[in-house]
Amino acid sequence: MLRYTLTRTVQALIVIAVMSFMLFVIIGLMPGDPLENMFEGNPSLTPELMAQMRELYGVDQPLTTRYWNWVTAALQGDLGYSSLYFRPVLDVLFPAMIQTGKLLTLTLLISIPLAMLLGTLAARKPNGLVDSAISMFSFAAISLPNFWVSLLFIILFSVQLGWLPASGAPMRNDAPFWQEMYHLIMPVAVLVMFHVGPLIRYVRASMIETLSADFVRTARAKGLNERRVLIRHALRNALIPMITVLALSFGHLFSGALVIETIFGMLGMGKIIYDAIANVDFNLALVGLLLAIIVVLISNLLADLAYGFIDPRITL
Amino acid sequence: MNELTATAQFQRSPLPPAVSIWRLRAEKFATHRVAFWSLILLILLVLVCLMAWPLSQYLGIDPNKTNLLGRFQAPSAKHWLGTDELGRDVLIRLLYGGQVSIAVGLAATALMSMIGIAIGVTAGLIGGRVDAFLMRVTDVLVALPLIPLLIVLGSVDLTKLGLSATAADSPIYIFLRIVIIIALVDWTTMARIARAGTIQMRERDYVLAATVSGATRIYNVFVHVLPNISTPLTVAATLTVGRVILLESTLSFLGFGIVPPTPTWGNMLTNAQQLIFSAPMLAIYPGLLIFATVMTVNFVGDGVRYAFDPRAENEGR
Repeated sequence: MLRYTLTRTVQALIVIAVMSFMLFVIIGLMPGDPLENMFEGNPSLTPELMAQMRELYGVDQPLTTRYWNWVTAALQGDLGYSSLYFRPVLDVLFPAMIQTGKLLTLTLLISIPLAMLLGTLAARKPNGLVDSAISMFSFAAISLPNFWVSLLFIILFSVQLGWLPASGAPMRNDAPFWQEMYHLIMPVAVLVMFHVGPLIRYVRASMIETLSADFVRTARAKGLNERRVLIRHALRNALIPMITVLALSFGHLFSGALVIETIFGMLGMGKIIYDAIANVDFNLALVGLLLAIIVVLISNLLADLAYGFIDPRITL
Repeated sequence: MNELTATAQFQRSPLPPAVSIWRLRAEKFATHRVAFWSLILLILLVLVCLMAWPLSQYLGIDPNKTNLLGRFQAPSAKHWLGTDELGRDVLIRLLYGGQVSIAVGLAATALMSMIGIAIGVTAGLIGGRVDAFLMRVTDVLVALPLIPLLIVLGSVDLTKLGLSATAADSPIYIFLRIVIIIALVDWTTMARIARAGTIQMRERDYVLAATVSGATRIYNVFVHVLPNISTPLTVAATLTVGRVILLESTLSFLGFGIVPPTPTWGNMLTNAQQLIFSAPMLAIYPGLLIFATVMTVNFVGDGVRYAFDPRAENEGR
């Protein structure tokens, strides 16, 4: 167990190091150079002065030197400034992480029970009427473009009916809790729909397999009622492998969050990364992406470790 | 009935005609009703999209020509679905956009299948450290968020890679660029399936026999391994097309995929968000077409899986 945790942690560190270099190279290939945002707002800068500043910031140095400078500074805790917000990148990213955290937590709290419920209902009578309806729903959920669903929701619930706000977050930072939740209804609904499709199909398949197991037949033979068999005996066992599926879905979920935060104008990680890339804020894009990747990798690792705890039959 | 007549009858009954595996699969596919009708709808969709050029000639419309005096026109005899915020014909742009989206879907799926199969077969065939390394890379890539990575890759300035500015802005390079970046990040499913199949095949007696007779690895791959794992690969490829169309439309919607004036269903929705008060219909059509295409492709994929899998016999549809 300890050995496994250590190996996985070291592997994750290697991945992060490699990814940081690859992203550094790719982001360096974005149009313009890192100082462009600073020059833009200042017409009095002469070309000589610009060249001088490039030299001062080390932008004219070769790629490997620049990467090495960035890594040594980053490891000492200096992740640099955002040229878009004129603030240290971490000051920009921490509130964004909290915003995205709220969105993703709420989504998971709804989509996991929903997938369990619909998947189990579908598995009770494979190819029955209920199963066909749920199957149709999960296929539709997988095939729907999430940005289009967001637009439709805004048109229907904000423009036509006027029930819900078109933005995913209140204007004021100190808005009361209920108001924040009110703004989150539509983004969470779209993200749940985006996330739940594959999960339902997974729970269904897993449940159908479990329901044909011997211990389920024993439970039924003992005369237990069907609900107890389904929930206490079958579902609990069918859910164990779902942890892996959930862990793998975090990256997918973050992709969805980026699109939804952009449409609903929420300043979460996804929107910050999107804005940083669209406005060539090199440093913010780099640190934001790395942070997102680190969070995804850590959640993956935790899910893998949880696997061993929940099912003692599995030795890691 | 005595024995003699029974024998005679047996002799008289003609041999059943030889049926090819493809015919059996096609018949089984047709029994999957949803998949069958999805295939019909999908073929219709493609045919209608291919009508873009003839229809634009017939109606005398240039899909990229802006007409600021004719913005937001209602549907008419000339503009069947009206015009958009720049006075361009919505229908013709939708049809051209469909061609682009479907072409990206097919091209990226073809390219990523090649990448995935090459990596998967290499890992499965060589094994050991190479296998462990390639599969670790696959595991990591599966877990990463694809959309942010695609946005970064989509924002790369091709002139910094030594391409001339005119070439970098040409529609062909923009098309190729999105095909390549999607293939680069999404080959993992293919690689896993190819690897699993290769490992199974590697241990088969006839492959061992071929090796003993002096067959090279390359020969074994093309003659013994690939034909035998083609079924799961075909199924995975079909399902991939739908995912690629979704990825492309998302990227184009966000402004990092195919950029105007070339229309795609994704980038036609980009401006629609600002226009939901004045022209909500502009936000309806492209999304509906993406949904219909992806949904039918996914159902066809499900049908292909059902038809190709000999064990999926008892599922009455």
